[in-house]
Amino acid sequence: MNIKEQFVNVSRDQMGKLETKLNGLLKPIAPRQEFVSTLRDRIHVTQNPALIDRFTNIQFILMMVLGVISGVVLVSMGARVLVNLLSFKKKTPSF
Amino acid sequence: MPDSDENEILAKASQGDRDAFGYLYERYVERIFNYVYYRTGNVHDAEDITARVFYRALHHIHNYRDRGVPFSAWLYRIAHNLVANWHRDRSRKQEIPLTEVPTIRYKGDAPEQTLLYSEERENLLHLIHKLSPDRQNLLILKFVEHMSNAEIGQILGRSEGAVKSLYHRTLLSLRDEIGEEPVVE
Repeated sequence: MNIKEQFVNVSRDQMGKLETKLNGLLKPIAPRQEFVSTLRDRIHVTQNPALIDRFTNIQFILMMVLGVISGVVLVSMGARVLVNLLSFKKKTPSF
Repeated sequence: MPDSDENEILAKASQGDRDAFGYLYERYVERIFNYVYYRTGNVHDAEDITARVFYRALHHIHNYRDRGVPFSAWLYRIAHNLVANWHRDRSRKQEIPLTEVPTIRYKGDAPEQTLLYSEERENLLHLIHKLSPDRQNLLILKFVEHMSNAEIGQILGRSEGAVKSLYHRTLLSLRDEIGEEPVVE
């Protein structure tokens, strides 16, 4: 075995030891159950933005429809008033 | 759980189904907490950041689109960004001494074994925290989360080969650091 191969073997050996050490020390840890359950509850209570968006959209559509209906009513009332005024003028005898 | 099932749950969650989001929360909360804990070395901040990860996910899940990146990778990216902000903010403030960090329990270990690990773990964490964020992420995802190079690549936005190469360089760098400091044996 030449010097280069020996160096590579030593390096591999060191790496293997380091990996074993990391494997032994970097272990998953358990978060506090109280934290997990409190966060779960808070997430459930939090208003979901997807729902908020949906409600906002429904409100917007409703406002638009009501606006259009109000506009139609106003225009028809105005037209009716105009027609009545014109017909009133026609019926009024001139002296 | 197969990916198709998770996609179905994701679709429901993005339409505002809280139970579906709750399911995703249960599935990923420990993994995200572990990732954040090992990046911060602090249980209190890990809990705070983990909570913010899930709030942010909840508020943006309707924007989540599966473009070949799994949901877990999306969550880890949120966590990574929040941890980066935390490090930036902390650099402006005073650091918390390690002695103030409460002792945490490893899953499945007896309390006395946890104490034995504690000092050695803190020394190693100290060395890991000297590495670049990408290298820290790599070690955490590999040793704590036991992810493959391909999965890590999806989270870090690198190819499998690039992850393999980064891993090798990280180990070399860590070995050199350990050689310089009288720790861990």
